[in-house]
Amino acid sequence: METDDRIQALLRETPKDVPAFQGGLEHVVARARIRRRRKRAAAGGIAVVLLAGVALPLGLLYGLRGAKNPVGTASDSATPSTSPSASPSPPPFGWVRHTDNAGVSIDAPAAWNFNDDPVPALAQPPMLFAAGTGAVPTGGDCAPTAALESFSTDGALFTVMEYGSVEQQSYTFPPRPEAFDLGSLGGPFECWGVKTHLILFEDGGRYFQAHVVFGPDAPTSLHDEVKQSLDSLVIDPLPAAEQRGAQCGAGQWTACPEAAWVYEVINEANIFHLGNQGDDAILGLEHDRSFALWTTPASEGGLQGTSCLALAESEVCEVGERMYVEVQGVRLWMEPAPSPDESLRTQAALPDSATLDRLIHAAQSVRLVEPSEAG
Amino acid sequence: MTPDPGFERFYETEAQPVFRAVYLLCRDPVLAEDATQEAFARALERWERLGTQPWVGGWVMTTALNVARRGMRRRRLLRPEVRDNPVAEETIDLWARVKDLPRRQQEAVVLHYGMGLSVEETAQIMDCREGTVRTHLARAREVLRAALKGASDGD
Repeated sequence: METDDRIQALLRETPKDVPAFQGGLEHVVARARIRRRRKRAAAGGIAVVLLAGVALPLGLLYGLRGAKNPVGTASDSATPSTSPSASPSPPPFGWVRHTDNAGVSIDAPAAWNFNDDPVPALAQPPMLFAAGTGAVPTGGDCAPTAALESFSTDGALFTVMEYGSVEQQSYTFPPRPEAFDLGSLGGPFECWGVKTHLILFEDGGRYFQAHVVFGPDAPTSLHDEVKQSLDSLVIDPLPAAEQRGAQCGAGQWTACPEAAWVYEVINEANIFHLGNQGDDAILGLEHDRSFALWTTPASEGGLQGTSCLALAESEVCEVGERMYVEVQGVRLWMEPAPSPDESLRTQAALPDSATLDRLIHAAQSVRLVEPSEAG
Repeated sequence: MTPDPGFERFYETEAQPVFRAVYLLCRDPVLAEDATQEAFARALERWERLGTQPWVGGWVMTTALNVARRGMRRRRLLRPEVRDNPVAEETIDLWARVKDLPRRQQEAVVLHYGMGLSVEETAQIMDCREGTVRTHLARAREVLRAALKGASDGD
C-alpha cells in the first residue's frame, strides 16, 4: 500500500530529464508582433461596423450618399481616405467602378443602381453594398427588405457582406474561385424571406457572403452580367501573416485547406455540421450520432492496433475508438465527440455504416485542391 | 516591438521555471517550449498593464499551462496516443500520470510539487484559497496513489 507520504516524496523528486529551455527572446517578440497584427485586423473588422453606423449620418449630412446612388456617381462619392483596390483594367464600356471604404471595388453596368449601405441596421456582418437593376432603397433589419419590396420580376439584386470575424470557422468559406458560379437557389435564408443564390468565399484573408436574387422573368443575359459584375470584385488582401495559410502553418487545422475540404465533404454527404472542436476538428451529426472529423497526412507511418476493412472501394481502419479512411493523400479521421449544443439529443459515437459509406463517397468525389503540410 | 528592459529581465528569470512546469505537465519539450513562448508573447503584448502587477509570474505560468493543455488535446487528436518509451523509474511514471488528473489538480501538483512553491504561493497563482489548493493536492495524491498501487499490483 502506497502511503500519502511516499506519494508526496515521489512527487517532490521531479523527473531529472527536464531539458533546458532553449527559446530565445526574439521568438517571443516575433510572436507578440504577429498577435498584435491579428488583433489589429480583427479590430479593423469591428471598425468597419462602427464606421457603417457613423458614415450614414455623415454621408447624409454632406449629401454624399443617398438611399440609392445611381451608378456613376458612386465613384465620385466614395470617401478617398482608404485607397480602393487597384483593378488591373478599367471597367468595360458602359460600366462603372464602385469603390468602398473597406478596400473592396466592383464594376457594374452604369444603368444599375448601387447602394453602399443598404441595411444600416445590420451591424454584423455589415452589408458592404447592394446593386440592382431597379431601385435599391435603404431599409431592412437584416436583409435589404426595402430593395426586395421594389424588385421587378425581370430584375436582379445582389448584396455582399463581409464577416469581420469568423473565429475558428473560416473553413466554411471556400477560397474565391476564378469565376463565380451562382449555383442553385437556396433558402429562403434567415431575414431574406425569398430564395437566393448564396455564395460564400474567402479572398485575401477576408470572408464574404453574397446573395443574388433574380426575378422570375430575368433573362439569361442578366445572370451573366451579375456573374461578370461579381467576378470584377477586387479586394484588398490582409497581410500574408494574417491569412489562413499562416494560421494553418501555425498549427490551426481549421484554417487549413483540408478543413475546408472536410466541410465540403460533410455537406456533400448530407451530414449536419455541428460546429468545430476548437481548431482541431470539425463536428458532424447524423441521426443522433455526433463525431469529430479531421485529417492528417497519409504519409504518416503505420499505427499500432490498426484493423482495416474495405468499404466503398477504400480501406477503413480502426485505431481504438477512432477510425480513418485514406483518400486523396490524407487520412480522414473520425472520433466520437459530444455535441457542443447540449439541447440536442445526441450521443458521441462514430457514424453508422450507411453514413460512413456516404462520407467516403463524398471524400472521394470532392476534390482536395491543395493539401497543406500542417495536416 | 522592442521589449521593455523590465520584460527582458522577467523573461530571463521566469522562462526556465515556466518551461519546467509546462514540461512536467506535458512531458513534451517541443510543446513545452511552444507554450512557454506563447505565454510570454501574450504577456509582452500586455506588458504595460501586466508588468506592474505582483502576480505577473503566476499569470504567465497559468497561461503557459493552459496553452500546453490545449496543445496536448490537439496532439491526442492528431496522433493516437501510444505510450512509447515506457520509463521504469517510479518517479517518472508517477509524473506521467499527472497529466491524466483533472485540470485544477494538475495545476496544483505541478506548481506545488513540481515547482516547489508553497501552498500559499500556489493559491495565489491559481487564484483560489489555500484550503482549495490543499484539497486539490489531497485528491490528486489519492488518484496517484491508486494508480501507482494498480501499476504495482499488475507487475
